[in-house]
Amino acid sequence: MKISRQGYTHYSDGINNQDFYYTEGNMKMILDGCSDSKYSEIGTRLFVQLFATLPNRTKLECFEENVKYVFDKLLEQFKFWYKSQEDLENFIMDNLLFTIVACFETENSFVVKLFGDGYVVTVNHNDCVSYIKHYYGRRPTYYVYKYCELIPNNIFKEYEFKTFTFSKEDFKEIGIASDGIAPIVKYDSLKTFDDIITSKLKSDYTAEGVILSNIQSFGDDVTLVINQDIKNYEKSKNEEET
Amino acid sequence: MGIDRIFGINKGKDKDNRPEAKKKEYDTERDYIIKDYNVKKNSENLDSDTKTGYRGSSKSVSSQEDSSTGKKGYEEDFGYSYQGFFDYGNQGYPNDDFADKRRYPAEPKVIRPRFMYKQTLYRKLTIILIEETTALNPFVNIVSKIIESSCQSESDYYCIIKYGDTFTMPKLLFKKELKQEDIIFKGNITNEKSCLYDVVCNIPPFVEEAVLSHKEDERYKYMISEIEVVGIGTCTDNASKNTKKDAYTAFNKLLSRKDIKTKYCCTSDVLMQEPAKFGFRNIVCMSKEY
Repeated sequence: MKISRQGYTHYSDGINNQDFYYTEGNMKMILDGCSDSKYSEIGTRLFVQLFATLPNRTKLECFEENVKYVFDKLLEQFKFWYKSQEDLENFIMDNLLFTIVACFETENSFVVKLFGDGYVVTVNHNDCVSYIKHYYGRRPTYYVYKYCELIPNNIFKEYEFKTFTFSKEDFKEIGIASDGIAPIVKYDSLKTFDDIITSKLKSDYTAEGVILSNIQSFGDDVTLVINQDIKNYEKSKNEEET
Repeated sequence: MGIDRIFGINKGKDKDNRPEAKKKEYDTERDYIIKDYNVKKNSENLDSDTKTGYRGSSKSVSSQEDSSTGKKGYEEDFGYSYQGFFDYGNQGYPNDDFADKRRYPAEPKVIRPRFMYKQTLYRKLTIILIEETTALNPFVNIVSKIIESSCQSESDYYCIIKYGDTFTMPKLLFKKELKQEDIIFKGNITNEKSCLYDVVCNIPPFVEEAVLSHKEDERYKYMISEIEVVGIGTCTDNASKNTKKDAYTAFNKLLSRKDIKTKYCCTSDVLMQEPAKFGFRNIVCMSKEY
């Protein structure tokens, strides 16, 4: 399941969907653009396009290096246009503020890499869905802060990607999501979403349909990427046919 | 008021109150008899009303008897009376109500006990699991806030289970019945062992018992319609008799209920997958350090 929907407040304020996702092979990645910056949707889309050109993009070991490489090259280009550091940082604040959450599937485990905030959606072997909220204060840690030298006492330079390993013995599937899915956790009326994730519900119910029918509850952009259990999905289809 | 008064008919005529004259005033003798019968009957009723307490006769009698003159309605001052024509609603024709009431007197009121259906009020049951280990010492304020926010409604049931290396299952309590010791988390804990699996294995039978036993008072019946399980701690275990598998199956039994909500507040983000293994739906971290 791959969803990326514009939040209601963004729709009413005339702001684009600032989230973006990328999936390839065993890897899935979500970029959640900062709502306060003007054009963060440009940063998310630009980053993904450049990241997708790298040769070792699906390798877990190379992920952190790849992200650093893309940012280094991007900012080198922009230095040509913005000569002073202040102008460059203003440009960064307007365009390149986004959090990064990635998930790699290995033989025995799922590895989640996180920089900033976001949700990890887990499905255990009893088909129980859990929403793990990673939240580190009101000011999220954006990767690009590492390149900002005008921020006083810039603690973000020392920050690195957080790594969480989920064993396949305990979990059937791991998904990643932006913080826009908070209403799904909060409201009981959206509890059907769990059944869609685990494919217990029939195919008539789609995740996008649930979000659209309750769009006013979703203020922020909603992005969720999770591999659904194909066996369950086939089961529900067969039941439908019978 | 009679028509004679309006149009001046019989003006200046002498008043004739003799019974013979009265007879002439009516069209037929039968009319006169009926009138007379009514008047007598009403006066009797008045007497009987004072004895029996019947209502309704006083009005008709007062219209027949002038308070100033003491004369009856058909003996008015002006020559002859049209009361039989104009006011016959009161006394024109025999009214059987009084007679019926006399025949069938009202039954005395007896208050009989009735079967009362008690109104059912739906309540929420909140189970709070607090792990009393050293890991919670830095989060004293946050833990107290979480407990307070979970125990807001005064009409709901609460069950606060504090566990370390041992635990005791408390009873279902209302908020007013909770003690200060239960609500406030003081910290300064030296214990390092927790028996989470034992606690989790004991929750499903406790919930079943609570849901099936309907508490009642004089007016209402109370039913549990919603259950919330809030866990606080590291979600790890090192002192249980029950196994991990037992605990998982017990918790899954609890999660099979549709009316259940689960939340776990972890001490650090590294341990947040532990409650996910159980199947807690909403998992948050109390520490915000990156």
